[in-house]
Amino acid sequence: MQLLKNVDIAIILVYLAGLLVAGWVIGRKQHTDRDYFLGGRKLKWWMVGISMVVSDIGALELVGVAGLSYTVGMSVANFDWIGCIPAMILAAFVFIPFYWRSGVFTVPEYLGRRYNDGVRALVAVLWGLFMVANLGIFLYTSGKTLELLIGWPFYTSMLITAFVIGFYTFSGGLSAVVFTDTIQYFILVLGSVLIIIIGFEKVGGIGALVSKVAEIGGPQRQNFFDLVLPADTAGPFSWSAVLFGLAFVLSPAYWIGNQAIVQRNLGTASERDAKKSVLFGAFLKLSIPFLIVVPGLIGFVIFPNLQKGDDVYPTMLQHLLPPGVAGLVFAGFLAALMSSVDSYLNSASTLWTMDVYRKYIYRSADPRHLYRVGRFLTIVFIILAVVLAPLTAKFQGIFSAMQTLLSIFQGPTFAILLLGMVWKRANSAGAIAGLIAGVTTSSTLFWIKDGIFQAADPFLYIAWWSFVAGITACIFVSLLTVPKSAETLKDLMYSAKG
Amino acid sequence: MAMKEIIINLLKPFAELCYKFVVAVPVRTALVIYILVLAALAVWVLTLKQENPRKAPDCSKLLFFRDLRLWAVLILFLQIVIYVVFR
Repeated sequence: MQLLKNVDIAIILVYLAGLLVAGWVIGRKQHTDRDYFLGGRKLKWWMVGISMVVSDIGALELVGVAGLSYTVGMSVANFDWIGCIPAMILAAFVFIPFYWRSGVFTVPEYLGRRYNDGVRALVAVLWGLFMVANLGIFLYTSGKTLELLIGWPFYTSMLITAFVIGFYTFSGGLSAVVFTDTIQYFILVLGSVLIIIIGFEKVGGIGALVSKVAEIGGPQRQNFFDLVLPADTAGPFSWSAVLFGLAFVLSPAYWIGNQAIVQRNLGTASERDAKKSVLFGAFLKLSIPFLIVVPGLIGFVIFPNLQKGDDVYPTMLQHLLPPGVAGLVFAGFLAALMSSVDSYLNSASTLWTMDVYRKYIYRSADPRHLYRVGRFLTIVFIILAVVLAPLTAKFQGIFSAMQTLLSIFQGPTFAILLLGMVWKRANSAGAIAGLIAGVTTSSTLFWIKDGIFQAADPFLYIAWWSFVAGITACIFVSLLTVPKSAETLKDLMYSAKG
Repeated sequence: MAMKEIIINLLKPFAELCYKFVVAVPVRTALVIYILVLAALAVWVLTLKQENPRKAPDCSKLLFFRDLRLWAVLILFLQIVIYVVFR
């Protein structure tokens, strides 16, 4: 069934055509790996800040966070507030300037210099595989959503999305990703603001929202507007899980160690611009929960009997918005989706080109050759994502396992990244021990989680304990083995004195 | 399965101890901890000497706007306000 009118579809088609043109125009000026992977290091800091934020949101989050806020309330906003802001401040002053100064293309490349090639290869392959698998999940979501809202068949919808994203990322690399992300941010904000205004008008304002939730929500939703929840909350967002698992581990691991996020900071014109980009992103992050959490809260009052929380965003799109406005809001949804896919596509291509191809296959490749390899891999990965996307429905277990894999290795990866940056005694033996101990701890805890955790979905606690295990093992083994010489650590460690 | 049970039995006392510890913390105290974390970060940022724009050779007269530390503190302050308002 087609839920959008012709005028809405026309808006969406114009938007998609605009993205293709932008990618083509930007791509005409690129010739080297630096142009393609780092935007020639000419990216504007404010565009990079916007791009970081919009890539983080993604369509899965847009639907998922609105769905979670529909179910558990305001506490989901912690993901964007204490779950982002401290980590971004830390990234801005400690990690990002450091990566920028060292001239690396990727986070594993830094780990390779700080520890050894084994650590670099291990982390690069883990991230590389995760990113390619995730691309399939993103495309599947887009195909399904377009099928539902526009009425195009699943494969047509998915192929159109893949073609548009593949074309502009292939043509313009990171510059195109950042430029289109910037446009997509404004469309996303416009769409969310429209849905909030129309939603509040329907509900009767903020006061009415609060009183209606109290009226229809029952005892289950007595903490609906609370940000800080008690530790014995049944859900995964208790204050302790949010603080230890999210704010201290998963969030820094994401903003500091995720190639898809960090890469665009490396493309800014100066170290100062790199810092400014992250701080600007953090500033924008303050407003994001109002844009993506509030629609879920409003949706609960207007549509209190939905089967699944995740249905709230598409339902609001379908029933709340007049023709024309629905097209704009849907373009915003599409924007969120594309901003994640293009980032992962570009970063997967960067990781495999710089950390695998250049390192292990063709060491003397010149910048033009690497540029061509990067573009070729962009096509390969988007085709691979198209092939993998339908499998998401058939083998959901595998793809959930890929998601689980991310939370399994993020804590330990952050542990060795942090120690490598601040503790000169950390060495490669310690790093490998830290990775193994951390991954073993998180895998074991996932296996026995029902037996020891009280919370229903304790992934935040698991991330915390895997980080603790990674740190402990890295310190212990590093102290027992030969340290790296001070000379080899020059310019590879952070100093508060500058 | 036996191995799973052994590990659970081994870790359960420690898990319960941790759980009892965090459950004993009132939500209001947890909120204070959140705010203290944000405030501590702001203080740390202000102590970063190498971020002082007066150290830069090309520093302009608009020192306030050039000091990224103050922008970071502003962001953290807004974040604290949000937590105080919404709790």
